[in-house]
Amino acid sequence: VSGSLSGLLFAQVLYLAIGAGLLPLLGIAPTWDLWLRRFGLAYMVGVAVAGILAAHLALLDAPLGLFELTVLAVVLLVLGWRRLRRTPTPAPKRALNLPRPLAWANVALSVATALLLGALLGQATSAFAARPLKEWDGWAIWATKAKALYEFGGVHDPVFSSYEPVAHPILLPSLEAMGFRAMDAFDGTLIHVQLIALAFGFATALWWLLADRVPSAVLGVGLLALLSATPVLTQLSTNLADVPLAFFFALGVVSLGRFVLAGERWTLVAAALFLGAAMLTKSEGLLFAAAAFLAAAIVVAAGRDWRRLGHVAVSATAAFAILVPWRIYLAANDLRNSEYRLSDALDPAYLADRSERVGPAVSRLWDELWSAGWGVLPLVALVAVTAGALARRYRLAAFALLWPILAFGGLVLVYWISVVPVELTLTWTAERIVVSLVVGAAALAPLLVGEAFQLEREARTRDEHAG
Amino acid sequence: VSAGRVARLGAVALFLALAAFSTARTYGDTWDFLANQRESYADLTAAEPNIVPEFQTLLPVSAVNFFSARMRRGDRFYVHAADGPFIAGVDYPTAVRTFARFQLLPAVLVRDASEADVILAIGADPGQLGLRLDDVARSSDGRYAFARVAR
Repeated sequence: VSGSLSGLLFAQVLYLAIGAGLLPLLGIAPTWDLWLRRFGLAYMVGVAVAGILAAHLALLDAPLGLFELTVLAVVLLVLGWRRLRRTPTPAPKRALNLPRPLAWANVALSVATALLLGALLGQATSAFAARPLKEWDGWAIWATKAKALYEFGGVHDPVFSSYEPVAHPILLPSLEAMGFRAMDAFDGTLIHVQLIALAFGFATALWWLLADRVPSAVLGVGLLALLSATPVLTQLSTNLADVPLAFFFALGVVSLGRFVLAGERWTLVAAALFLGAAMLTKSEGLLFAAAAFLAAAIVVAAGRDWRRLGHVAVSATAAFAILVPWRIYLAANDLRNSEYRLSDALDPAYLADRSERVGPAVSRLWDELWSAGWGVLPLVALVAVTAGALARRYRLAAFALLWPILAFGGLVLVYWISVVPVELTLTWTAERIVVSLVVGAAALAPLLVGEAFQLEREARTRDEHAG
Repeated sequence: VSAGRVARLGAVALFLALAAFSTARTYGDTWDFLANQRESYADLTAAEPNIVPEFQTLLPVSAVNFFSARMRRGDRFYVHAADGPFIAGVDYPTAVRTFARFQLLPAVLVRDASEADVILAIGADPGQLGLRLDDVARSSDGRYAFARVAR
């Protein structure tokens, strides 16, 4: 049975509306001026919130369909609109003030990259709309859970307590189950359109998250390099959760980066939401989110900025709280990850017995980071860190360097304590597990480069005034 | 112009150059992959959106229809399949059970035949399981058999 594309597209419009209503309610855009300037975040905010809500309600066997989403969107839009009317204070805007030749170059590069990106995502849309479920994990794990949620409306016991891997969280299957309800059918092909909508949403959100601090040419060139990297769209097309995880994580880590840089509190709300969604998308989302928050906390604490440290702690608590209902469900049903136990990481004897696994894990993950499909994105990210340091944005540069190191170390630790033969588990997962590392680092790169560019502009302006 | 400013400008320029170089290295491959996917699957999925290429041989559409027509929503089924290899790390019975649990939802796969409402046999005889079965239905080619467990 074919599903209804119009129903699926209407669901995407509802996610946009839910996000638009939530922007003022969450404090991400408390005024009309800011709401217009941060509207690009609305779709991903809506997807994250609807996905989290649907995943939690699935634990109570309460499905979300088009009717419920419509009611939610209307209520949130009304509440958000009322909130906007009550807080009319305009926010200061950081102008880039480029001289004319540079402004023209900026516009030309922006238009060129936007056209190339639009063409690529257009091509991807037509491919995704025709692509069936194909890869093993895409149908055997993720689509099976989505189909079960669609059919039963919740975490039907025999499926969710006995089909491996039982510990995989269910944000993506919950989003897809809502997609099937919107299409009024299980359609293993058309559901890919929702995946490419995530790519559009990610690109838009990242752009609008950084547009007030980064020249559009820098942002466009960086975003194009990120989304044209072969693993991003090829892996997204497989219906595995690694790229959706990477999208949520990258938006979270960029939000956190902005907080480390400028201390804007709204970015911590965005970080908590997106990193919480990442944790509920895949098990390793917890590791990545922990690495990001820990890196932010270390950098802020190193600057003895205890107030900001407190804010990071509140944001981290909110993010981890998003995972709590799922963890309670796992504990209540005695469901465990069969591949590793985190407590083994604290057992020196266990670690010593398996130390021969470390070398292959480090080597393979490192090779995957530098594989040809990524182009030279890791190098781009390293240059961006250098640019940030040269711009004397030491906290941001340290954060950008520290979280990937912590995340990489965490991944190696998981391979170290896993009971699956190391070569086998690396073959199955290494290529996919590095996606969040590369996408997160590449997404943060324009912010670092934008700071170097801005500092240079300010120096030039001072020179001109002095002259 | 100070050395610091030159270094900053250099870093910005290097970022732009490397990002453009990275795009040049990957854009074409990604574009080709997407074009290939559309060409390969557009006709196939227009006719059958829920087909799973490469794995559909585990349980062809005709077999899915044969079993689905006889099962009720929520039925617990056990797949009795002949032993054999499939791919590295996965034997044939595991592969066919994994595929059946996806394809045959909202019927639900169980791992123990004694918990099942129905038995789906693939290249095997359901009578081998030692359960009391109602009438056994067989597909026209004799490869698939369906039986409801007598209660």
